[in-house]
Amino acid sequence: MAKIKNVPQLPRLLKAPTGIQGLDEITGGGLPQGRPTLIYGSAGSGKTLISMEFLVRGALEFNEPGVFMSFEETEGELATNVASLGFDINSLISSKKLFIDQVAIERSEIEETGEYDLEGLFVRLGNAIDSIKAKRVVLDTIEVLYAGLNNDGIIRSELRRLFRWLKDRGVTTIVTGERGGETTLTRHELEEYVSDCVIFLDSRINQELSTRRIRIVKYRGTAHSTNEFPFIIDREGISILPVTEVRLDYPASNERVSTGVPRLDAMLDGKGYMKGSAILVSGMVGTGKSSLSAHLINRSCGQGKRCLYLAFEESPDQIMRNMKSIGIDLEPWIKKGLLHFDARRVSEQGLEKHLLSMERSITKFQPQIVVVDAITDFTNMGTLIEARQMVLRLIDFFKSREITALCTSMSNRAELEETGVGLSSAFDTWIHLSNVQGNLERNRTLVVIKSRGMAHSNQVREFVLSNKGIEIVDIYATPAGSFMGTARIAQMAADKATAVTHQQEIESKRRTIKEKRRALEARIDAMRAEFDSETKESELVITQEEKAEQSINKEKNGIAKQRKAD
Amino acid sequence: MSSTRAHPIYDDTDSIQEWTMKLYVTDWNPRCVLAYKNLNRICSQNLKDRCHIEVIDLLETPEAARRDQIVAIPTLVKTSPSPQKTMIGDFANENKVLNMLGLESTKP
Repeated sequence: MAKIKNVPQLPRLLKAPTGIQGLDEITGGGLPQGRPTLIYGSAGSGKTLISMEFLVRGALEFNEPGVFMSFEETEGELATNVASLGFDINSLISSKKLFIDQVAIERSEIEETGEYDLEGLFVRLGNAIDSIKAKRVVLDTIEVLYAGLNNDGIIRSELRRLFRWLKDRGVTTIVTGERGGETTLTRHELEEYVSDCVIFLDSRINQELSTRRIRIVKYRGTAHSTNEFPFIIDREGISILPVTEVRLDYPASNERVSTGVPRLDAMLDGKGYMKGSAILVSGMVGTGKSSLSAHLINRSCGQGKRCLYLAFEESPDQIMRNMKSIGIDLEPWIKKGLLHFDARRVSEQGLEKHLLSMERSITKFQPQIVVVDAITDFTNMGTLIEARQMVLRLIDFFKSREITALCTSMSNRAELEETGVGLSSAFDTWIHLSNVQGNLERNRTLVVIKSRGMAHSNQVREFVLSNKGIEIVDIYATPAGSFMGTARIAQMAADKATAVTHQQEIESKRRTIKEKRRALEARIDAMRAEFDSETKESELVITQEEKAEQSINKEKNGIAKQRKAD
Repeated sequence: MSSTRAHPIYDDTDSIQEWTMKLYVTDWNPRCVLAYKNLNRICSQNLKDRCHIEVIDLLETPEAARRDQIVAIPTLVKTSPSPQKTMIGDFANENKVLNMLGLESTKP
C-alpha cells in the first residue's frame, strides 16, 4: 500500500474565544474567527444575552471591539438588561469598545414601491465597524427584517450578500434567529446563509424550575460535542457546564486523610480515607452522618487544611450547635478561616445553578476537604437521571482538583446497600450507618461497605455518640449472642461480675494456702526452738560432766603424787 | 396601501403648501438614479415648484443612516406636510407615490 507522503500542513481553523465560561470548551476554542455563527432558540432562551456577553468579553478580555446591531431592543433596554449580568455597557460604549445601533423597522410606517436594496444597513454596519475598528459583530435578530419589509426575495438575496460582506470584512459575527418549525431550524431559514457554526439554545421548565440548555448543532471543521449542556444566566453572565466532558484521567493519590475517629481510621487500613477520593456516608435520619462529617472537618482543620461544608438541610449555626453537643467546636476553625459554610435550600434554584454555585464556592475557597450534606436532597428535584448526572459531575469536579469529598446520603429504608442516588460506583469509599432497634432502644452501627485501594475492615461496629464525640466500639459478641448499647453494657457488667466472683474465689484459696503455710512454718519454728533449747541443755550437761571428769583426774594425779607412786 | 385611507389633502385649500422630502441614496447606484428620476418626474408633474427634495448620499454622510433609521435604499422620507411618511423603492408606481404624498392620483 502506498504511503501518503508529505501531507501538507492544513491551515488550522482560527477561532475567536468567547470568554464565556464553558462555551470555549465545548466549541474547542471559540467561534469561527472572521465568520458568522448562527445562534437560534425560542423567545427568552438567552440569545441576546449570550451575544452581548460575546461582545463584552471580546472587548474586555481579548481587546476586540464589537458592534451590536439590535433589531428588537433599544440601546437603553439593552443596557438595562445586561446590567443585571454585571456588564456596564455604557462605559464600554464611551471608551469605544462597543457600538450599539438599534435598527427600528415598522412595516406600518413604510410604503414600498418597486425595487430596493438594504444598502442602508450595510452603510450603517460598515460605519459602525469602522468607527471603533470592530472585530466582532452581533446582529440581533435580523429576521425582524422579514416582518418590517414585504419583499422576501429582496431580503433573502440581501442577507446572502450581507453574510458574504461580513466574511470579506473578516469580522466574527453572531446572528441570532428565532427557532423555526418542523423542517427548518429558524423561522426564516437563516441556516441557509450561515454554514460554519450553528448553536441552539433551549429553555424548558422542569418541575417549576427553568433549565437552559445549549447544543452545538453544527461546527464546520471542528470536532465538537453534540451533547446538550445545561447553562445558567446569573450575576456573572452565562455559564455553561461542560463537566460531562471531563475524562477519567484525574490523578490518584496514595496520601491519606484521617477520618477524625481513630477507630474508624483503624478500620480503613489504619490510615483513614484516601486523599482526593469521594466518600459516601449513607444512613437514615439520625444515624450520625453529620457527626461523622464534623469529625473529618475538625481533624482536618486541626491539621491546617481548608474545609468547605455545603449544607442543604441545616443552617451553619444549627450544625455548629449540634456538633458542640458531641464535643466538637467548629467555631474556631471558621474564625481562623479554615472552615467555610455554604448553606442553601435545594429548592432555591435548579440543579445546574446549584452545581455552578458549588463549583464557584470551591474555586473561590480552594478547600482540600468538602462535605456535601446531603447529596440526596438533589434527587427531590429534577429527574433521577439529572440528579445522577449532577452528582457525577460534582464528583468529577472534586476529583479533578484532588479534593477529598464526603457526601452524606439519606436513605429511606434501613436496609443496607442503598445510596439514595443509585451511584455507588462513583464513590471510592462507602460507609453505611444504621439504626438497630431492639431491647427497647435504638443503637447505631457502622460498617465500611467498600473502600477502594485499601484493605478495610469487614466488621460491623457499634457507633456511639457522646459528649466526647464519636466512639466506635466492637459489638460485644459472645457465644450467647451479640450485644449493643445498654445490652452490651449489661452483658459486659454481668460477665465482669462473674469474673470477679471467680477471682475472689481464687484469691481466697490463695489466702488459705498462705495461712496454712504460715501455720506450718510456725510449727516448724516452734519445733526448731524446742530442739535448740534441748540441744543447749544437753551441751551444758556435757560440759559439766567433762569438767567433773577433769577434776577427778586431777585429784587422782594428786593422790598418786602423794603416795609417791611410780 | 389602500386608497380608502384618509389623508389630509392640502393643495386645494393652500396653494403655497410646501412638500419637503429627503431622498437617501448611495452614490450613483443605478436603482437610486432611477428612483431620483421617477420622483423628479412625479413632483414636477404634480407639485411643480412647491416641493423641495434633499438628496442625502449615505456614502458621504454614513452617520445619517443611523440617525434617520435608514435600512433600505432608496428611501424617501416626506417630512412635511405632516404626517411624516417613509417610502422605499424605485418609485415606479406613480399612484403609490402620489398617495404617499397626500395627492390624489390624476391617473385612473
